[in-house]
Amino acid sequence: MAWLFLLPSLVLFLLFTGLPVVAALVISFTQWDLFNPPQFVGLQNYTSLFNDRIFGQVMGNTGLYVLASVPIQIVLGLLFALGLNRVIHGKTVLRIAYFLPVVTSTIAAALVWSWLFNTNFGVVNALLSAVGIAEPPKWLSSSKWAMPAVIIVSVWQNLGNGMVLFLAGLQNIRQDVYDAAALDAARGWKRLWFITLPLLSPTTFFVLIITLIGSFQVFELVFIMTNAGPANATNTLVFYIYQNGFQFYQMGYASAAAMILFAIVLFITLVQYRLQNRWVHYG
Amino acid sequence: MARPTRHSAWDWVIFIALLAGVIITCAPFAWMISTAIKPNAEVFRFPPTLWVEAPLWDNFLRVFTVIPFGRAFANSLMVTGAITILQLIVCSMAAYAFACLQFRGREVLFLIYLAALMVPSQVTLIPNFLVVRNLGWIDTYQGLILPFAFSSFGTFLLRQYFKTIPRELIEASRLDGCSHWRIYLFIVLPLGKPALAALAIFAFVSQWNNFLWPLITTTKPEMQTVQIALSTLQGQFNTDWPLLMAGSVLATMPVLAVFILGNKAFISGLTAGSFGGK
Amino acid sequence: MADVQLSGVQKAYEGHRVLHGIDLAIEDGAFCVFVGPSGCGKSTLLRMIAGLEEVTAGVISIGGAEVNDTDPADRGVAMVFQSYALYPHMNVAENMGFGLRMTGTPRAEIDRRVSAAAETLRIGELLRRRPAQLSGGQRQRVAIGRAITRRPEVFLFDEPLSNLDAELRVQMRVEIAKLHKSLGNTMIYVTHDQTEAMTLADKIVVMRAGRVEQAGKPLDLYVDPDNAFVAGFLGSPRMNFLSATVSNGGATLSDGQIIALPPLFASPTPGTALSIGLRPEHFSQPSEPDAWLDLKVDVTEHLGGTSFVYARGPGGEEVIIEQRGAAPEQDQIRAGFRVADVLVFDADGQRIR
Repeated sequence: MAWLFLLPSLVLFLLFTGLPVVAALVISFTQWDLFNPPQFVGLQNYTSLFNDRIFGQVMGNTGLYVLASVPIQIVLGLLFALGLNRVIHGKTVLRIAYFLPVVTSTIAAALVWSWLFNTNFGVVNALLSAVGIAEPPKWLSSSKWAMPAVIIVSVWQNLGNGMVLFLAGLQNIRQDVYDAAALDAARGWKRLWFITLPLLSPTTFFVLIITLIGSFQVFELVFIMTNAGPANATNTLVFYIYQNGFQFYQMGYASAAAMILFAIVLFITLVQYRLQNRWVHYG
Repeated sequence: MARPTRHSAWDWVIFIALLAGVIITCAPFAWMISTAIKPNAEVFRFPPTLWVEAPLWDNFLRVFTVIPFGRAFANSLMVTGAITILQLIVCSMAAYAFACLQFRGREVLFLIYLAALMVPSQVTLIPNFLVVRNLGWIDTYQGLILPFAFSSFGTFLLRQYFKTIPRELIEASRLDGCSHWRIYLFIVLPLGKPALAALAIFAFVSQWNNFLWPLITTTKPEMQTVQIALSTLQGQFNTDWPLLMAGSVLATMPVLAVFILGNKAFISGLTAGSFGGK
Repeated sequence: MADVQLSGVQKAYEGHRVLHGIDLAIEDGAFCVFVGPSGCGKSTLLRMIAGLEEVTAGVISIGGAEVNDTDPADRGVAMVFQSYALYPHMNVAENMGFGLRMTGTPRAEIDRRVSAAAETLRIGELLRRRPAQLSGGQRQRVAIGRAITRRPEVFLFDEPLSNLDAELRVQMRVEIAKLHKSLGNTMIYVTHDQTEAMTLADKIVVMRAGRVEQAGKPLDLYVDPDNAFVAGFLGSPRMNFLSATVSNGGATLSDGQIIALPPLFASPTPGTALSIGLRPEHFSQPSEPDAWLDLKVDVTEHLGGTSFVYARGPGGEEVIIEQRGAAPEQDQIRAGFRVADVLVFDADGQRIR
């Protein structure tokens, strides 16, 4: 009986998730350009990746993006949630406003920000010259400033996600615990540090994991804003997978890169689950 | 507790910070709309202005004539709508089995479904592409729809909600002679409406914005979705900013409307699934 | 040690008044119980004394000093919450010592006081556990221990026993009474349970709809209530009320039966509507009954040592009669009482003495 209910999901799951995971691993051991039959090459794709100078750059870019974008998103998201939690009227409207970028298509967001970052006619540089910066960055056409621009947009787009989750977490903390803290002289920063943050830690844990995993998958922003340029300065792991698979038709090589993405995500998740009992408090 | 005199300074700081946040968050939208209705003379003016002196609505019409944007819009509606409906059906059936039925291997299978949340979609991208290509589904609706008809996240979300339905209700219906299909259709689904609504909005928003999959599985302009059409527009008219912004406005409107109307359900779904993300 | 004084204390939420000017003096070392039905404002009043709610009008002073604008932590009060409100991320010892830690007490002193409190409450072996690993009764002890550790002038209890099962409730009630005896602090205790109020209090404050109905010693309120509400609220089973009108020589019940009234200071004019109050135990074999009621019996409950007869009064009012030993099964009962035990209330429920 139960299996009848499960049948549609099982078929779809096996066809589009279960088998493909295994297949991706198998393909990563082959050389395959889609036109000729695949050839088994063992670990060659992986060794090539490690000797691939561009791949090294790609991993560096991705790491930089994650290390900058994730902490900013989490800290800002938490601060805004703490602020919003104190607002009494208009909380819903503010929450919707902060969340709009999250539901906006990344393509549209990337387009509008490309325009805002336009070197000669963009708003960002207009503001920078208004505050007296004589030679504002060339942003997307500068190999130095393209990545910071992408990071800024990612923070803008994803901030609301963490914030909404933090806000829900804050609203889950019981008032009577705050009352007890008031009687125990835990006020202001002390209350934040000793009561609010520890009780929020399950949410922080969750937000950290999904933000980290999401960040490793950055693609559309780079695709639209910089097309991975200039000179691969913003080429990231998923873009590299796409590029090798669907522009260079190196399915094996792209799959090997995808397996590395998978390994990173698995590693982060497992490490976090191991570490969580050191700092996450479940009520 | 909250003595207004002591906290008012802080409250102002917070208020100003929140307001600044809202301005930064919403300014790009304002700029998107403003540029979309600017004549060229105003677009390339320095310093740029938000206010448009001579608004021009032509750009919205141009989007539909320079590329088959109307067709792309219809495709997106079709694909997103179909995925949303299929996810509701497939996930609710699976969730019903996990939440309300006893069977061997239930926990293991559920764990496997959950583990799938940790697999980045880019990992399965190439094998899925090969499957769809071998089935001859490149440039077809089924190729765009079926890979997303099931969602682990949706199953998890619905199962958590279905579990809160009192067991007695289901047992009482069993005693009244209801089959599992009847219980699923007439008890669990109606009671599960809030979770189904959350999933529907969630699925709609994320699928409307889906980009990578339609990028690699569509080649003909008439099968493109809105997001692909928008990136094509950028490829062909990369300095025609009013046109690009008009396209962006059009591509963004449906999700923003759905989100603003259903924001409560959406956010409750997001936070209830404190496990597994987009 | 400190007394607590309330004068003209009011509370309003967005213009809606929930407390209408409370005047109350709680002596140093007293065990004062606020009792009343839910929504009467008793918890709000307690939270105002704690400093968790702002005072809309009036003055609250503790130990002679006005505390209206004093921070909760600086009032010398500790509170035990209905839900215990333990910090879920700290173990028992950390929970108990948290207040001292926040005020910068040295580590050794905290440890000393925590273990002293733990010993008093016999929770020494729980100190390393988290609240989630404790039973309801254990959490309750920890919550009390947390209050003791702070050595407050005044203890505040907000319905502390309502989440416990019946047996544990009685046990903890006795412990709280013992604690008051050994510590000797002022304690203010909120409950909706009149048994807790009667057994624990030196002073009961009966509240209704944001007002104090009567305050005083438990037995004084029981024997000599100011109004029908207090009379009915205290005592279990509750007092019986019979409607009557004043006539010459007594009160006429709805079936015409006339019963004598105790001597009243203000004798009401004939024809006025009255309510006659008699407690169930007043029917319980008084040595010399001097008045009788003829009642129709609905049902009899046998508790062993006593029985309760549920009967119908002349106007159809339910009348509960307590009888020693086993009551015989009967359809009619002639219940005797002493006129001196009768309480008389006017139509508004105010006592006529």
